[in-house]
Amino acid sequence: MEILTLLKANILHKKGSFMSVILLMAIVTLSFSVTVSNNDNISDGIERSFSAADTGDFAVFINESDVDEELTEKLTADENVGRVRSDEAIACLSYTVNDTEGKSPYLLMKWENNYPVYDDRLKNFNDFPKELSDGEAYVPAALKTVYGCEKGSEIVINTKNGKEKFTVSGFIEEPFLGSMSIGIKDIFITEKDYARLYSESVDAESSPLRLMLPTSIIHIFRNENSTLSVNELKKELNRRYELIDKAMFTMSRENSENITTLFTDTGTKLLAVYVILLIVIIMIAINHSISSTIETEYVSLGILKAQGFTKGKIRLIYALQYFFGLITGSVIGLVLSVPLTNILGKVFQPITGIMTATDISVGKCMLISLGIIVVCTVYIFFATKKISRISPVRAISGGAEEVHFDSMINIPIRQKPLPFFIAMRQITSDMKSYIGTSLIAALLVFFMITITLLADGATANTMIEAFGAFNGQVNAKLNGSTDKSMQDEIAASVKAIDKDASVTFSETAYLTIDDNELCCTVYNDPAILKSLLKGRAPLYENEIMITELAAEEIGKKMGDTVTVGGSKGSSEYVISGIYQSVQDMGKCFAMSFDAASVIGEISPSAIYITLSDDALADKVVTELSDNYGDILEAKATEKSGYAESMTDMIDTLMNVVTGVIYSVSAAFALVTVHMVCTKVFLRERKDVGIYKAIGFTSSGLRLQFAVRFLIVAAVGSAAGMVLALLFSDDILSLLLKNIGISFFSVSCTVSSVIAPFALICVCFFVLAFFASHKVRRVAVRELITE
Amino acid sequence: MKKAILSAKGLCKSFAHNGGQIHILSQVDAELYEGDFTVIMGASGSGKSTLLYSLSGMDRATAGQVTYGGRDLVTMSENELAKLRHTDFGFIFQQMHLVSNLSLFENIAVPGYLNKRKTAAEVNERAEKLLEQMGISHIKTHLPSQVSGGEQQRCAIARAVINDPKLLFADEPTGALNRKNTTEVLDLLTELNRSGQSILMVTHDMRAALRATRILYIADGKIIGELTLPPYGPAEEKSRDTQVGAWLNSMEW
Repeated sequence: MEILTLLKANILHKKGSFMSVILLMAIVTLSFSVTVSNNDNISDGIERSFSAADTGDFAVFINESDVDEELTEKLTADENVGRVRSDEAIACLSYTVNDTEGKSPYLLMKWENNYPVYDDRLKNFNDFPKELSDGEAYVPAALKTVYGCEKGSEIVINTKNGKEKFTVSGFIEEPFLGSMSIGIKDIFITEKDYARLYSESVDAESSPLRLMLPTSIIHIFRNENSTLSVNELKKELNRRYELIDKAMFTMSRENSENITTLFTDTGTKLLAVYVILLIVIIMIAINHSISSTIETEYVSLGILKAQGFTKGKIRLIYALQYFFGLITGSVIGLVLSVPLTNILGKVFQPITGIMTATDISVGKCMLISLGIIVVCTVYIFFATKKISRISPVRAISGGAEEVHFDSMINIPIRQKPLPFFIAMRQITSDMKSYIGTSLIAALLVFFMITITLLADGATANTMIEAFGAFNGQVNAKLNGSTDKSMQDEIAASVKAIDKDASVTFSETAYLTIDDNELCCTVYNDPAILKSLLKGRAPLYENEIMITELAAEEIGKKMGDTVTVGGSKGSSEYVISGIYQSVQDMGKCFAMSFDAASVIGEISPSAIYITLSDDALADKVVTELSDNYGDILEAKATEKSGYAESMTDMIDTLMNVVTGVIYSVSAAFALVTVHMVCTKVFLRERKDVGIYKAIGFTSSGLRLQFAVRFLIVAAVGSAAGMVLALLFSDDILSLLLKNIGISFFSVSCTVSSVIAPFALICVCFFVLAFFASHKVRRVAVRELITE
Repeated sequence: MKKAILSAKGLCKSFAHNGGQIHILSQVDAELYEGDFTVIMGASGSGKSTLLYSLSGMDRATAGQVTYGGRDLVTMSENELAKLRHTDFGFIFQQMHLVSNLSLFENIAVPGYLNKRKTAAEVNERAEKLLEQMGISHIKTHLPSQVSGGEQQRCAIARAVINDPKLLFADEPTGALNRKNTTEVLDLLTELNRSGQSILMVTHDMRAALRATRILYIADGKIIGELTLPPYGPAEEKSRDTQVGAWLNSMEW
């Protein structure tokens, strides 16, 4: 009963601290609850959608001519395979949406009501979708985001017989290839249109113009009793039936889900690190609050001890007080996360293309909350250890001993600027109290700078090159195979306009490397890539370079020998270097055309041209179009299509994450500064009276108070800035590893570092000034001893 | 004819208590004269400290006027009063109230820095002189917690006079001191008064009262008696003691 009475009194009389703890915990709970729930909703949505679409554990995209009944029977009969189903498609190379050229190849498929159709606002599914008419198409919802595609937009398909136009009739939820993160897309047309195009427009395999190729999509479902993982199953089926070697590419459900959730996962990881920092900040703030309370209430606590309260009981009261604050905060956070999860779901829907629920993962979030509360409560119990040192005798005879300070940084007080020097003295004489506050500023600034650097880097052109893509001014698509002499001729014609131009021919193919199917980018000169991390680019016909993540996957390192398999056979190659690329989530490798020719017939399908002068781009485009228009389509561009779409996605993600982190940091600064200021003010109430008695005005004292917190924030922010400059590379690399960026080099600009620094300093200054409003209420009369 | 530097007319001070009003000061009229060492005496709860703080502008009177330099302190803004505190008035408290994280020198110098009439060098020079005068220059870098109560109070006196105030207010300055320190502090105040410093001091210590040139006696919130004395000299302390004692007895002290 006595514990309850004191607990009630403590909460009532220390409403400020109690409310601050509630607010801080509410912000933390809100942050993780929204992200965890959003992630769960996306994963659940993808799983639901996969089941509805009957997507296999992996799908093999293969030329129709390479599939026969025998192969299908063998696959079906394999003991590791549960079942097999095939979809027909026409793999196409070139199309435009709303006059925007498609960034990747696509698949034309028959509409068989196999995917749910969104309503006009993309908020719900249409229970009775319109029957597709000839000339109409259903497309994945991501096309809306990528190309600004709307209902009624025109999709123009380039065929050997000319252009075919389709009108977008609606958007579908397609979980396998529908995400914005996946370049290749599927377009659904009527059976009649499909049959017509199939019979009239597909190209022969031998044709130099391969705009449309009949393709089979074989969905393979793993036998539930099989002990093989999906990757092992792929390897095994390739070993037995050369399935992967024959395929254009394969994609597993897991791969598709990973790519679809690539950005939400990365965002979640960033926020998870941030939430951990926030929890540390909560503990620092609570520690400061407890220390100050013990100091200012030394007498009351001593009296309690004199009355027979044990130190354990008093500590329990404190622990319970904060425990209730944390519980209340987490409940409020959970409730507030309901509308925010709804909003976040809408932000990510255009990226994933999946309609997600807006449910809160109550069980999971409550468990996380409970974990945080337990950690904080245990910490509080330790932080209240000082209570055991309170002496009832000393308390009754006037309280704690005067604090003797022996500051190592004893800056003398000077007349100008007096508020600064007095503020400095207040800090240096009670350094311990301000270390925590400084640390809070350091952590906030560290993370804000890190996220700003990431956001800046992610949108900069340099990122495109750093991640293994090209940042040229002219791109061209080759519509057929070209031999070496033709490539040299094209390069020469560009160099005739700009002798410093770099002309790179490239093709992407899925090849096996030690029986693992990986994406391989083939270049005429791999040394052109600027994302080499270790070693050197391949120089000889028996060399390749590989990404760190791919090397990890196949268990090889630089200097090792690997077997690469292609359509013509396989050969051994030495890994000459490690590079980074965002292609296929960073799991890929690269080689020269000369090296690729050993194992297959690989001809370039794209040209990337980097000019010394941007102004020459149009001239180069005209030159190429005039002279080689029959085999290529050139256009001036600022970024490669792939990198452009990646940058768009990263932009969206960064805007959300940066916005959340800046807002939460400001809210945290608000609450912690208020909490700390209130405690400092209580402790210094007498000093405020003295300063007033010698002629300081209330506004002068408030300014002094704010200057003090500005200095504390500046010191902490500077430390955070240094930490960010030293470690942001490593932290970002760690966080971005799952999207293929194993080394993230930040380029700091003054604004990316100064903006968070300034924001936190200004926040601390302004908030401390407002929090010190109680200075006005201190009367000199309080110094009078009646 | 002495010149009045501060005068109070119809001064009242009341506090709300349990739904009613407690009248601490009731229609007090008083004048403080230049060069005087005025002491306010009275029994506990008589309102002497309240009068001191009302006269000094530390506390606002409920009614009446306190005129200083032609202006009414009761109606002055907080900022005007703050300025007055570092230009014209000085304060000494019973509990010294030095800023705990400033050295003795800094405690003295800070009000000097605040008052921008002097340069930093002039303030420092004046603070050094006061430290010397108060006999605490050898401990000027010490913190208040590292020196004795007497030394703290001498520092508080130096702080109060750093800006050469027209009027020095002292609230039981010897109340927390032992006998030796009490004498030292009173000697310093007497010396300051001799050099022309006007002082208003509240005390219930007879020894302190002997230093006064004028004693006001307050009872039930009203000044009921006044005694004028010649400047203090140690030689006539005994006769002065008898005179003041007799007067206080007549006041039913």
